[in-house]
Amino acid sequence: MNYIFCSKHDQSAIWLYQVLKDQFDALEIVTEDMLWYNKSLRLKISSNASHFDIRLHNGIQINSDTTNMVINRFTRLPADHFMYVENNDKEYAQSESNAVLVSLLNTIKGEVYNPATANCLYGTLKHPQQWLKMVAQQGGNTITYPFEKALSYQYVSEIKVLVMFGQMVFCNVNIPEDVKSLCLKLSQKSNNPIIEFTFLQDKIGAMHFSTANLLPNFKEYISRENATNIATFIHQLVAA
Amino acid sequence: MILICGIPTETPVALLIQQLENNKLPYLLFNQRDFISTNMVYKIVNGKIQGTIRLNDSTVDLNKITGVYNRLINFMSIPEYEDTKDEAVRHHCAKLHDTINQWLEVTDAKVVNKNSSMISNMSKPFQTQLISDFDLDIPETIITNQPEEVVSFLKEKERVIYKSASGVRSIVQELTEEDIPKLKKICWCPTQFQEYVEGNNIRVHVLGDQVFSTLIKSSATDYRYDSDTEYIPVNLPDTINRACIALTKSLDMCFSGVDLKYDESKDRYTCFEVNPSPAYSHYEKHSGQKISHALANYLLGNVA
Repeated sequence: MNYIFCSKHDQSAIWLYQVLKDQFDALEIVTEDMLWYNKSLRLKISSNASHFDIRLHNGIQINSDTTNMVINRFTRLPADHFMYVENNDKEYAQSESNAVLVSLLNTIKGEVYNPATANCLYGTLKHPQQWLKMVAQQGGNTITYPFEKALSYQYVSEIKVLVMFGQMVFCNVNIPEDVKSLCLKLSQKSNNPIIEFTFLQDKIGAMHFSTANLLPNFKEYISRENATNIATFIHQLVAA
Repeated sequence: MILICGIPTETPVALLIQQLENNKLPYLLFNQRDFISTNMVYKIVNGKIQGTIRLNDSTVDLNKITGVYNRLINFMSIPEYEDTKDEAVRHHCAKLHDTINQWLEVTDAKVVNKNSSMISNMSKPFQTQLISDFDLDIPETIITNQPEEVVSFLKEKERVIYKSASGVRSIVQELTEEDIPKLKKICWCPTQFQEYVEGNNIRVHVLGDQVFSTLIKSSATDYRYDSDTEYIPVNLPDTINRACIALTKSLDMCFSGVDLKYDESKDRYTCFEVNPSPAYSHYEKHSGQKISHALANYLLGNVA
């Protein structure tokens, strides 16, 4: 089975699910509430293998071994059940829940886009400065940090680029091949297969890296027509 | 030039300072308690950092700093921060720490350790999974919200401990028959249970490619609070040393405290945890191993 993990408020992920579901039956959407307010949860970690099994109240059973692919946009676990717990204990319980979820997401045998890290459920979070350094190391142009608003007159437009699955590049305008290649490298180096990059274009057309976003709005890039490419990619992934 | 960040009286920091002073080696100190007279400013232009740090009366070019020992504590715990009601002072303290923490992530200096490399410790089960990729056993672990799963795990393993999954409140306790009625509470938050592993504790400090292993002999549950605990320097098999070094590097750390247990009857080394900011001074004090000397040399770039 394949899943989109997201918040119940994540309109972009819900939209992607609806678009893909038309073309790809083996896909389910699981919200943070559905996952965490489960019927049962068991994660086993040993030297030989790790494995989890979660039974949801709607009958879905998520198993680490039979999960082929996850588009992971979990941002935070629900904490409504800790409403009447003292603040310190609530924070502790939330840290515990997050720590468990990170481990669960890293137990999945199939591909997870994006893999969770211990401080960010939906990918590898980096500060803007780290991105600028990484871009410069890859030979790309960057804005200066800190960004001086007084110098913004140098830039004439903002261009956003979406990388999907570390392999596909979507952009609403034509961009140079070296920028596409830079985006793919950054996605790979940062271990964020789904990521959006923002560039500022100067008067002579050069693109300067500005920021990265791990929770892009798919709707800005993916139409029902080109969603076929994504569905085909998932099909191939499952077949492999 | 080495920069030490932290509280100078804290023993790992104090020991490193003592080591550097004994050898008349120059260093800079960012004493967090002196945050009022400290400032850091820099910018990044085409990937290059340009800026300075002001420490009391001296200002230093950040590019002159080649090694950093990072033992920063949460700035909100600094007495001078806690005691002041001046919002401007509090803001300066927060901004300074944010700037230093960000700089630590992007500087070309050798940083022991970057904050980003410490994050795997925020999820112990995730770190355990990472450890299992190396030549080290891990304790069998279950995390569940089902009391009956725990009861059957206890039946199977005979001795089981429970502990935090996060880096918060890291208290280890053994599960007893008396605890079983309380297990119904785990339905509110999945809880981590681990097989109890027999054997002696071993702390392995990894510093770059160097290893300092200390065998700990104690009859207490927590040896750190037992005055009769013995700390004995030991040489571990090459495979274990290599695994500890590789594991530390894979977590993007230069310095770590790897917690092992050795069960002689099974010739089994089990790894529990990798501490990203080890309080090495405790082991140096009791075992005589010269970890602070190695740390100073490492920061100076004298060893890999």
